[in-house]
Amino acid sequence: MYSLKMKLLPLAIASALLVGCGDATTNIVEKEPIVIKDPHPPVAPIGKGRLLVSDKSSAVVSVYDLDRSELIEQFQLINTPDAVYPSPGQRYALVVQRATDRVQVVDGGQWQEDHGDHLHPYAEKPKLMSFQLNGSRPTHVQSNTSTTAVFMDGDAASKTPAAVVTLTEANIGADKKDLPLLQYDTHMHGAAQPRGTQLISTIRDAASSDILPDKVGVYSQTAGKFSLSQTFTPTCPRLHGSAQNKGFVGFGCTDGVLVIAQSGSTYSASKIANSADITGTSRIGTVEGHDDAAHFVGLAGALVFAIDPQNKTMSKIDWQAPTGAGIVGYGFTAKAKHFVLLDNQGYLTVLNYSGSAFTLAGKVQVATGLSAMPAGSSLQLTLAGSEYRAYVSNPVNKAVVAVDLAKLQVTSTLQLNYTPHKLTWLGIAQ
Amino acid sequence: MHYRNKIAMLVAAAFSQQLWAQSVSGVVLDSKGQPIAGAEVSLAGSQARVKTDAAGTFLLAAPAGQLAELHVEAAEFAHRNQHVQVPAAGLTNVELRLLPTLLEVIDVKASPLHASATESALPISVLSGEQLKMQQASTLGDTLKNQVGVHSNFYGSVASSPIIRGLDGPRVLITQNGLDAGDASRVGPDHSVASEAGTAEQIEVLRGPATLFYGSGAIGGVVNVVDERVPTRRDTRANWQLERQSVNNEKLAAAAGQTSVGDVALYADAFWREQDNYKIPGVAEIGSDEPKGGRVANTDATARGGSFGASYLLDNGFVGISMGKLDRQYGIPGHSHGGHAHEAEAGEAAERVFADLEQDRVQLNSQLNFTGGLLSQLNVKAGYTDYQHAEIEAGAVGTTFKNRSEETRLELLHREWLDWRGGLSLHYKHSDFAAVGAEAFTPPSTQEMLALGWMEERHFGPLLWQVGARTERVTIKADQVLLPQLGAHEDDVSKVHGHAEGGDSVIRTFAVDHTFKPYSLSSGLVWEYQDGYNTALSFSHSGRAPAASELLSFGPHIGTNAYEIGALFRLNPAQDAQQAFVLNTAPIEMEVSNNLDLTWRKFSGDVALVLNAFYNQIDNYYYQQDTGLFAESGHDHGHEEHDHEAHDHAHDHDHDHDHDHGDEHFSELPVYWFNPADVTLHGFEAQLIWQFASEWRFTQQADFVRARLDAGGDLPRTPPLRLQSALSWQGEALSAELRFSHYSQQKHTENFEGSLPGYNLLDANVSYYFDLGDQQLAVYLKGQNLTDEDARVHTSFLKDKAPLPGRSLGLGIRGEF
Repeated sequence: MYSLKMKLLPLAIASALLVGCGDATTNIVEKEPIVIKDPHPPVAPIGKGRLLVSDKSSAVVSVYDLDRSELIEQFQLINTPDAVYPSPGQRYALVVQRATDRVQVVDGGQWQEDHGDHLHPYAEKPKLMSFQLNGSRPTHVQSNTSTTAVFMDGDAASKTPAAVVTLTEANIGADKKDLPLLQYDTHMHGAAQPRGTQLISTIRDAASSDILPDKVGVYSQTAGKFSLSQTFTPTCPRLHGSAQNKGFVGFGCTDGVLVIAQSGSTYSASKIANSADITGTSRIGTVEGHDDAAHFVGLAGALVFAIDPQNKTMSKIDWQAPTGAGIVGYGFTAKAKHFVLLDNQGYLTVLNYSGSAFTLAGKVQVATGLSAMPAGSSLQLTLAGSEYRAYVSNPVNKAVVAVDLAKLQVTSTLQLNYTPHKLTWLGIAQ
Repeated sequence: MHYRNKIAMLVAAAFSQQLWAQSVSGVVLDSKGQPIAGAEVSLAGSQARVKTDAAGTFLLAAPAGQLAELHVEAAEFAHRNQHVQVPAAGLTNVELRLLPTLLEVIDVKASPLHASATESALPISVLSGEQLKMQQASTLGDTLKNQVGVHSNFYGSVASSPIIRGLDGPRVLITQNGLDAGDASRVGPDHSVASEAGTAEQIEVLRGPATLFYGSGAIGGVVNVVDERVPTRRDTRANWQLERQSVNNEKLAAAAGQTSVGDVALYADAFWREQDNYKIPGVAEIGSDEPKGGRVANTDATARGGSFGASYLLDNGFVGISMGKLDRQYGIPGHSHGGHAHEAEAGEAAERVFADLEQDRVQLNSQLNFTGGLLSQLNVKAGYTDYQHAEIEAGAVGTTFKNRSEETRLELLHREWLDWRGGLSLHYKHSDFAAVGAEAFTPPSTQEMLALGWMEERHFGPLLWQVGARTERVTIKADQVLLPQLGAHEDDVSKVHGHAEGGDSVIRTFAVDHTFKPYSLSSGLVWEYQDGYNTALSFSHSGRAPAASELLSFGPHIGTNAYEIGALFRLNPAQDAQQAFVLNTAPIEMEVSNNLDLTWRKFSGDVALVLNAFYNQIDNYYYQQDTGLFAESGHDHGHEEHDHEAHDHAHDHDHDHDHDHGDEHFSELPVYWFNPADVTLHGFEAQLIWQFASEWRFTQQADFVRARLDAGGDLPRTPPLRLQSALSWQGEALSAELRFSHYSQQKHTENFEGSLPGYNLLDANVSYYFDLGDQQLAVYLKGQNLTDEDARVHTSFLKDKAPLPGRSLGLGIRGEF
């Protein structure tokens, strides 16, 4: 009986095995997927970035995700902000409350770290930092690629002298209290440009009746205090407006532009006289620069000038200003291939910058009906970390529009339920 | 599974009674008519086995009235099978003449038919006896690396496994006493083979497809580690060995012994092995600025194990069972995340990464011979193996691999019929494989194989014809096959990559059920056209079901420094930034090999020469193709296991699977994808032995394999041309051997694979033999890499990180009685 089974079993198995010999079949059934909750929502690492917008009539600032065009966080600050500036890496917004002598800082939540062979992006929720600056009348905020200098004008009435503090993004994150300080002995509406561990900052004669300074010096740091180490001979009457690029710092003066050239640790000053286009009381009161641009751009009212600090020339840029236009916003784009001007007639003008000259690329109308502009308000411009995007806030229709600078068209609108005042783009530059 | 019950029934059915009637006696002589003492004469299909006395005579019991096959083996002589008709009155004056040979002729235990290096259509080599004792190393790959046609995939002296004719991994089956080793060594080169050479009796290597005997896992060959854990003899004998090596302070103690009480034979063995990190003449990692002459970190190991077995010896066979246990802790070299693969600077401890392996194995082995009926022999082998190894890093278990397997093989040999010998084999194997942890690149799976094989051979005068066929059914089931999101940046922004883009990450999950029905056919001819010469031609067609790891993997595999993706997936044609791979809906094909083998042997006289040539065409060869993508290993950041990103690198990487970063915080791996391609491997092996004086012998070996993709290109890590020369001297009380090996530079490399310089190795050993009481002892001195060559092994996954050990002197003593 057993032997019969033994013979039959192999036969049975053989026939079972031989059926479909050489076949291969695969049967796949999809099951419920496993969902792993994102530990860092919302996440948009190198997307369009974020926008911080302040409200004209409240101390609330709002942060928007530009990929989703939605509000992600609002923060109640202490006072209504007067100005907002990005930190050097555009991670933080410095929210200046000038009248109440305070600067608060909001973390936009997007930044990247240098991991050697790559830059590692992070995306977290925005948050209000505990870091604050308290000083009399913080006004001009100037940054290079790593350091920000905040000029606090001081106050004549209370005889509070001016001061400058410098800070980095790391200082903000660490809530550092004892920041490097330049303490003046008099007040002034001045300007300071950080250069390494030094400051190129303005000097005002305490005896002068003018609130504006007229000289510039180099301030060097010892034990966290800046002291004057060099005063430049050329003066800069009624100094207002400053900028820097890789090799130069420029200041606007009534008689031209004061240029400080840096070569290693030595500085030299020279003056570029006003061009013949500047007449009457007109003067360059605003200077803008970019590390990747050899030229500064100077604004004298509605006139725009290309200032070459190397060759000490100043030439007018024909930006074909609309009738009655006043410039309310300006700036180099992320890689300085363009310069953008926003005027009070609702036009955004894009200039191509070749490295040697500025030429008109075109204009795009970003706002209409501006006769209804509330008092004390204006259109505001901020440029994204990408070469071709700009955002303009419009207090009239309580909206922010995104503008494609290459196509010269408005691509989207973010509707607000408050009157926007100031805004800045935050995120990871591309 | 119900198959198992039926197999158990078959075992029970096999017992039947028979009568042993008469004796056969005779004499064993050499070619000059001189008696050969100590030759072993056995009766095929029985346990009857005797040794000849000083006059060469023997007396053996044999069933009367039947044709009996006598098998004679003697050291330094070719085996001989002779058929005799045993009359009712018995048989006397049988004369058996043996031809001397210089080749090692030892029967392969695993084959149900007699097969040795001189008799088979397929090339076979066996490492046994003193040679095995001298060449045993802590890994199977290093033990066999001097066998012709066999290379080691050198994994830092801790996990090396053999490469046969350029094939390894799931294509080379590692067995212990004919049953699958049941470990995880076929899944990754960093996984050690769970067997020990120190207590082995012999290690058999079958080069070329041995799918008929072993199934589709043996498409490239088989390494069978044989020991006597299921004893089959009545005599009492034992052997032991102590050894110490200088290069890594390796210490080995091994012993094995057997005896019998009545009809019960008993066996026990035990071993202990310990090694430190080994010394090297140069630096561990290519391009490292560390001082030369250090040690390679994480190449230490400690292993111990033992087995015990008992058999009931019957008149017509035996039934035995054994239990074995193996514990092994070994470092995992090259497992670094930021360039700390080598010994750290003074005062700074290197990252300790090691594996902790445990294996329990129960084996049943039986052979029963029958005098009446159709069946002449029934062999049953069954095994249960419980294996696990845990990879431990910084004191914490990273990944645990578990493999629980059962295997049964029945061989039913029929009585000789029209001069045909052979039979059927029925083979069942089941394994439950699971990998759990951070580097579990393969999902848990269950594999089941049922096979029916048939083998026959017949002599036609000087011609031996061997034929066989095998059909299999292999199923692979996996309930939880994962397809995580794996992004692929176009990388328009250099140096920048991101985490998964916003929101939750979704892992698609599949239940996968594969069924493969591979079959194999083989036909071989051995023509002994002149005494002492033969030539053999063998053709085989073999199918192989791809392994679970080749189909289902999706994850980082630190052992190969690659992010491995199985053939169940394919590159996303849609170029989705979040999903570089999608489900492959195309049919999964089997691997099919057509192999032609040609052998010529001269095996008697003072010069022996064996030449083998092979041509192996493999369709749908599953190998890891470089996709040019990189993925986060998910290892260093404490990320979620499935939070992976892959992206193109603008820069090239210049060697296979190894991708170095200057970045210490972040680890990325190149993405390799198992995609079948047609390949052709061909090559040769040559072995010359020349006894030029009575005590002197010169051996010359050469092997070469060329492994090409039919569509153009070469396979990675293919062994280079190797030439080995050995000069040996054998005296009464002393023996010595000097061996020189030349490994050429491999110039046929995969696209991104580097070509390392060739190298030469000089080894030597001296043994002194003496008797102490009943014991035969040998004290030996063995030197390896005597010139302290800084050599890197082309076949190694760690060739950039772990060179071969430097000069080593070993001292050992062994004894047997």
